[in-house]
Amino acid sequence: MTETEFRKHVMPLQRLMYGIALRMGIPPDEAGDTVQESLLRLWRHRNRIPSPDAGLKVYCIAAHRNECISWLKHSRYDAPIEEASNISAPLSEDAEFRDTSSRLSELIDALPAGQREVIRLSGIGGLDNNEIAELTGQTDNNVRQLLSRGRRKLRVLLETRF
Amino acid sequence: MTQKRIKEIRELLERFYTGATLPEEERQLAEMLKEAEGLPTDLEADCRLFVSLSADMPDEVSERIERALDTEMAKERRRFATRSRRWYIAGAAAVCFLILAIGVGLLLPERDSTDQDRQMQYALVKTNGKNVKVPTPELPECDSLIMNPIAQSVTRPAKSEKLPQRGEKIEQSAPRAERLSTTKPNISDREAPVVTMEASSESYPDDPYGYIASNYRIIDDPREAEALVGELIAIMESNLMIEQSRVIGVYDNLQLELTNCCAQLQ
Repeated sequence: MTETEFRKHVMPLQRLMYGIALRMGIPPDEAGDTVQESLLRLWRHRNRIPSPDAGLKVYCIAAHRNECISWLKHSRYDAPIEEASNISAPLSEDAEFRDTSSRLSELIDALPAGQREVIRLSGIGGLDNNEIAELTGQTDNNVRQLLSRGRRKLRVLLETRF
Repeated sequence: MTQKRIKEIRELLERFYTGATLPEEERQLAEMLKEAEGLPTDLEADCRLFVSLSADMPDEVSERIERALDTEMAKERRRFATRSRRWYIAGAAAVCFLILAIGVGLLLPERDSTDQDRQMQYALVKTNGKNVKVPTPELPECDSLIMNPIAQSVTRPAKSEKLPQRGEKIEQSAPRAERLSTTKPNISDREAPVVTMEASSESYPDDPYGYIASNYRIIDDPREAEALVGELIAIMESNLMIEQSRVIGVYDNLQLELTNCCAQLQ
C-alpha cells in the first residue's frame, strides 16, 4: 500500500477509532494515544492491509480494537473486556470519570458481553451491521438484535442514573 | 423545530433502536438532534444518548496524530531514498565496469603464437586517422602471402622467384608438389589459384619488396578489418591443411617405397 492510499483510506478511520477507544473505557487523552499507536502499527505493516473493497475497514478496526484491549490489560483501569457483568454494578466515584464519555463507557461496561461488544464497535455513523458482524463473528440478525437491546438499555440507564 | 422535523427524528429513532439504521442515517439523526431548541422533552434522553455516543475527536488530538504519522512517513521516504541511491550507484558502477571490460576485450589484439601467424601478410589498417601496419614476423624460409582484398583467392610466390618490382605485373602459381618430393605423389595435386595483380607505382617506404597491391584499399571500419583478417586466417588454415595432407601423402609414399625396397632386398 502506498502512502497516498494509506492517507486516503486508513487515516480517515481515526475518528471512528477514537470513539471505539472511548466506548471501551479508555480515557480521552489515552484514547488519542491508542489511535496514534494503531495507525503507526498499521503504517509499518501496511503491506498486510487489504484493499478497500476487500475488508480494509474491518481489518483496521480489528487491529485498533486489539490495541485497545492490550492497553486496557496493561493499564490500571479495570474495565471489563468481553466478560459478562452485573448491570447493577456500582459506578466508579473517581472524579476523573465524571465527563460524558467516561460515564457512557461505564454504562456500556454494565451491559451483557454481546451487547457491550456491538455497542462499543457501532457508535454513531461508524460501522454498519455487516462490518460489526464480521468483526464479532455474529450473524447480521444477531448484531441487529444485540444493537437494539443494547441501545434501549443504554437509554434507560442514562435516563435513570444521570 | 418543525413538526415535520420532529416526525422525521422519531422515525429515525425508531429504526435506530431496532438496530436497522445505516451509518448515514445515524449521522443525519445526530445532526438533527444537535438542534436541541424546540425538542420535545421525551426526546431529551435520546438526545443525551446520541451526544454521548457521537463524542468527536478534538482537533488537537487529530493534529498530534497527523504529525506523528507525517514524521514516520518522512523517515520511511528518507530510508527508501538512501537505499535506492545505493542501488543506483551500484548499478551505475556495474554498467561502467561492464563497458570497460567490453572495451578492453575489443581493443586488445589477439596474440596467437601459432605457426599460422607467420603466414599473415602485411596489411594496412587505418585506425584513428593513422596508417597502422599489422606486422608479421618475416621468416627467411617462409614465403609470405600476397592477398588481394577484393579477390577471393590467395597466391603464393615461389621462394626462388624474383621478387616483383614496382610497376611489374605479378602472375604466379604455387607448384607445391615440385618442391616437396620427386616421387610420384598419390594424392592429387592441388594447385593454388592464380591471382593477377599489379604492383603499385606509389612509393611506400615500408614496403621495399612491393608486396602491397595497387588496388589495395584502406579499411576504415574496424569490424570489416576484423572480418577480413578472419577470412585471411581461414584461408591460411585451409592452405595449411592442404599442405599437411600433401606431406602425409608423401610420407606414406616414402614408407611404401622403403617397404618395397626391403622386400626386394630379401
